[in-house]
Amino acid sequence: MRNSYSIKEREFLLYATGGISALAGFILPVFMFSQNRVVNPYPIDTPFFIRTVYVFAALTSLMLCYPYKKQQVNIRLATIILVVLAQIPWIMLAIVNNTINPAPPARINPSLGFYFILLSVFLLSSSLFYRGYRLVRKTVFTFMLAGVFAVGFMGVFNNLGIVREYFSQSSVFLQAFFEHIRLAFGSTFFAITIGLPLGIAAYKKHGAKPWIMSITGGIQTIPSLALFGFLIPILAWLSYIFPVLRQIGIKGIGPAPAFIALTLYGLLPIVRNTTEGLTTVENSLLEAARGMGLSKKQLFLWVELPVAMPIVLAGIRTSSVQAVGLTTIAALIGAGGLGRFVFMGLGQSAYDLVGLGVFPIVSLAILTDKLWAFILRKTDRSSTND
Amino acid sequence: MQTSTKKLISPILLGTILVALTHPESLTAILTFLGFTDKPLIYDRQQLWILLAEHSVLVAISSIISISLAILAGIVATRKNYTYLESALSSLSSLLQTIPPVAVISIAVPLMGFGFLPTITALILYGIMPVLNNTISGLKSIDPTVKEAALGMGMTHAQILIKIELPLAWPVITAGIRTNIIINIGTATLGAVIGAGGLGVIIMAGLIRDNLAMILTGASLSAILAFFADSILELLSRQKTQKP
Repeated sequence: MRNSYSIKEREFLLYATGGISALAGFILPVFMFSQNRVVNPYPIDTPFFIRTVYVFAALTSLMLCYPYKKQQVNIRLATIILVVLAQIPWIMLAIVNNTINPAPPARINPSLGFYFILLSVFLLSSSLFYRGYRLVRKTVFTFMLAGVFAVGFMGVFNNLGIVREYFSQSSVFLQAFFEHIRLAFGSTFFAITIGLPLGIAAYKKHGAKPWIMSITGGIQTIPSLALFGFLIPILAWLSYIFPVLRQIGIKGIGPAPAFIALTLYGLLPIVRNTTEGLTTVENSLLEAARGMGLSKKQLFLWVELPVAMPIVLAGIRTSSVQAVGLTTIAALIGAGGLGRFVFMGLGQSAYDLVGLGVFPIVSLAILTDKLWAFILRKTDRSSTND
Repeated sequence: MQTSTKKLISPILLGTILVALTHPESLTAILTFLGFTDKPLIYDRQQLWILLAEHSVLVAISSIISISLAILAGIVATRKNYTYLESALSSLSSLLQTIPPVAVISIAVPLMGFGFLPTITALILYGIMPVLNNTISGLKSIDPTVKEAALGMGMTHAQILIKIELPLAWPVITAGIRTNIIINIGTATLGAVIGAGGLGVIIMAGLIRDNLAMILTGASLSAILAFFADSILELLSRQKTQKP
């Protein structure tokens, strides 16, 4: 099993891609300059000396970390160089800012070279991770974050395209952000409260299973755009018939149809995983629990549900990450959220404005995913310890 | 014989419904029967079957590319000398899955312009994960003694892969392919937002003009296209496993 696995090969791949992206960061343009939000950007020359410093730091850390003939890594020196390397992109931005210092609406944007630099920092600081030096990566990223905050307070990011757009939208941005969070996580909560009982019903009653599965699966085949649009007239009609609904704020256009559509989309992963998780409970375990004299209710609450929990949580994870992305489309039917900026930007071909929407959405999705991964790890540990 | 005709019923039925929905006269009849009174009952800028064809092409190209990439990557990751790639690939593909397709589409627009290309890119990235995961788990679940027996019979590694591993893992891989195509058909409607054509055009037009009949037409066309594709794939996958 283990003999087919060679540390050397994996490491070689890491170093090769790390080295190549370091060279790409040295050669390719790091920043772009545009006169305003719609004009085509052109590359800015980053000073040669800082790029040389970057490439030397990258190659030095590469040589320091590379495992020659099983010699010990000088971990302290490698960490220091990696920490310095992680600060270089922000230092570059500060230098470019000082030399150009564009007045609004002109802006600076990171380009391909910048992303390659970030990639090389990530790969090189991960290179020691697999040999047991797990702290190095954490240290490097902590220092990197500190550097980002430091240059941020110095106002280095103020000329970036996304930040320019943020200042022009600052009155609406926070509102849109909270709308997005409310829609995504509120609908996930509703999907859990509906999906869990449905999943349990599909497991307990064999007659209901095909129905529940095909309906929740069928919802997934309806394009999200259409489902959003479809609920508008239905809700409009309902609020026309029952004026009470209008007082609560449920009407044809706005957050209500989006909320319902998002809840419906969130059902499938939760229902599927609940049913699957419950079917994985071993019969011998159930027999043992019955032998101890547990009632059906106790059996479900103490045995079946705890055993199925990790799989159920994985379903909730999928559902909530999906909801963060789908909420973007809700902006098309006037439900607000961060999708506003995306579609506004696409309509005006102002791509920095698109970035102002996409960047927080993607960050939120990744953060949600990581948070659930953390929770899942915790539940896993508790179940093995019991 | 009886079972094979039974399996043919659903694709033929769904195909007939698709044809009926793209045929203007029959669609008008269906919509008026359902009680719709919207002014243009049917999307009038382009013929529906052309939009359906555009949608199918969009899905076909992106699915073929993403499925073949994912199967290749899965095969490489399960080879003896490349097992170190497995964790890297699966973490990369789960990261791709975390990023919403709307985000990929809108990031791709400034790089590739409007239209087909950014949409296809987003669909490819979004479709890799289910196939890759299933390929890896399907190939890993094969009993190693089977492979050893084949080696003992004097088969080369390539022969083992083609004649033994892939056929054994095929049912699991097709499950991933079906997921991939169903997701793709739904996601491809987003392409309409950035001018890639397809069935999303009808839905967008309905949203803009406040026309429920159009939204329903676009939605049911893409949903039925998804079921149709799924039933055809089921047919293919069943025939694969029936081989002696």
